[in-house]
Amino acid sequence: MAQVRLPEWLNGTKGPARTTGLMRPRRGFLEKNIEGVSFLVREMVAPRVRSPHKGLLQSIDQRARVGGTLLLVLSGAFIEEVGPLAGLLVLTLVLALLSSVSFSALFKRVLPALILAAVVAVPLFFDLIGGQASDGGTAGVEVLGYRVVFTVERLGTAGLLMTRVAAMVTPVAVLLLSTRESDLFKGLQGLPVPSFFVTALFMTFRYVFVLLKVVEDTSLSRRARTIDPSRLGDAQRWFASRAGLLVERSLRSSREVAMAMSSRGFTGRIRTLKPNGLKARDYLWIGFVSFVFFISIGL
Amino acid sequence: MHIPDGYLSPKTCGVLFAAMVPVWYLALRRVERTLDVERLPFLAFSAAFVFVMMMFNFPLPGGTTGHVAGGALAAIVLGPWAGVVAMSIALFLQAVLFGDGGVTAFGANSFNMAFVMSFTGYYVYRTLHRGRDGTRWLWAASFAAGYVSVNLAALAAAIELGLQPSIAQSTTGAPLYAPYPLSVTVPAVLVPHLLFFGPVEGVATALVVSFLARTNADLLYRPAEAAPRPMWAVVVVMALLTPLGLLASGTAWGEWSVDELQLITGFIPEGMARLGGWWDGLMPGYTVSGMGPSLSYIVSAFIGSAAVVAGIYLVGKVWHR
Repeated sequence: MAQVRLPEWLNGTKGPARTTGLMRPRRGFLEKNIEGVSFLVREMVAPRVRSPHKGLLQSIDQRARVGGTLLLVLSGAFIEEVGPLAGLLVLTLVLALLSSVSFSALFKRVLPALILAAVVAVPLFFDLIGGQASDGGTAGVEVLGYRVVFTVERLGTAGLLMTRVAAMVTPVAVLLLSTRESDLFKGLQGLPVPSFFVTALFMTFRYVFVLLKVVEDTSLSRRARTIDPSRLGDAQRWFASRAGLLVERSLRSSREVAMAMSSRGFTGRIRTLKPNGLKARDYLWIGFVSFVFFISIGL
Repeated sequence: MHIPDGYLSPKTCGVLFAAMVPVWYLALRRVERTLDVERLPFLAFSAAFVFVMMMFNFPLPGGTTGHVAGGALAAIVLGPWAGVVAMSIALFLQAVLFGDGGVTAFGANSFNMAFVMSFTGYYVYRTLHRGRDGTRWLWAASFAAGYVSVNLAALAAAIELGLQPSIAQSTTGAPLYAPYPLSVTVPAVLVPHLLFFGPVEGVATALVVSFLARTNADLLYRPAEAAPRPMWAVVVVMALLTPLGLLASGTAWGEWSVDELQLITGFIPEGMARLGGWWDGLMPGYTVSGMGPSLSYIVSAFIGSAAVVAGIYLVGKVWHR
């Protein structure tokens, strides 16, 4: 039996043994970006997979739930005063509470929109914009050479924008956190949206994950064979080749899916199960949100 | 560029949604006609592709990154009509499931990113690339498509946001929705797009199109029908640029009224005094009764363009006889 010769470095006793951990290639921004995006998409979907089963909104038919949420959002668009908008926001938060929606998850969803609204509102207080200086304020604070003026009018405009954004974004967030995707798509089918569009939407939602997996896999394989990921030209070429691969994979997969659908008897006509009729509590909910909507038009 | 909820008035959302309905109808009809039974998975995968492309950042010099909107790329690969449908599905998914872009602003976002971006991107690409071979022309055409389309989409978004203070005000005159006028929104949105996001979109589009042309050119969309008419693209682009005139103040040089001339020169020439002002036009001063000055300026520009096109069409018909 031949004797196995071990490499010298393995026979050595000094220092730590070499592991793959010491040779782990650095992650470039592309890998970080891909990991971040995949995490974000999965994180946004995960709460709905775990969404609570019991609650006020969960007990309402999906179509009424989706339609009602749309009416709440529209109500936020029509209201012209901060007070009623804040009232609408409180009403939505009560709905979230009664539907066992986690307030921290809700806050996480609404926060980006609020930050954007705050960023948009901040320049209102700087005397940069001639059109906004109709309030005639002359007093102000100097900040970095610019005059910052706080007047009731400017605070009102900024407050109105931020409250409106919060009041319009929160109902959608509550709906998403209390509804599974399948229920959401069922709900959309009940609205006057073409079933072709809803089915394409549902398939798109699924395929997003398929394509994300393709990108993740290619990113992992690149990481496995890259030592220095920092060169810009390489990263750009890789980006272009992956985008090209995605196009190719998308078209090929769509042909395969189409063939699979044809072989199962799909002729282009979408048939869906006839939905159950609405119950008394669904009508009550629709009546309630319609009332809120019609009231909001006059506020 | 995704306009969230709360920034556009219900009127604006309604008008842009209504404007998109015939576009969606035509786009679905066109896609249905060309793709038949394959249309559903094809559309779904195309929309998923656009969605994924929109989420990834593109590497730039200096360690910075940029985000790709993908409208021009989708239109070059799928064709403009399928591009409209794929972009609309991706935008709807982003708005409803991921809260990126508003639910009420879906019509506006689709108008900007699905319609304006797809069509301008596609026709800029076709116009520049038509009849010219070579990778340089392909690169230049797809770069220009990405650059021009994202800037026009940004301009459309800036105009929509900038019109809000004149469309919707409280009883005290305070803006109810997006608070800044056109003179602020247009430069604020357009300058970063002209300098940063436009080149990013252009380079990303060019890289992907060049890669596809090199490796599998069959994947790029080729129209089966008649050759594109570049003049139409130019007319549409010029019409979309009309609102830039709102940024200008004062009267154009040499187009003074009799009163202005009196102020400038101190006298009125006799012929001008006799003939000046005898006909004020159908919409004097580009104003339409019942509309604000900004909106009536844009509306009058579109009415004027439509009248010119109709006039040329009629003259052409008579000439051919």
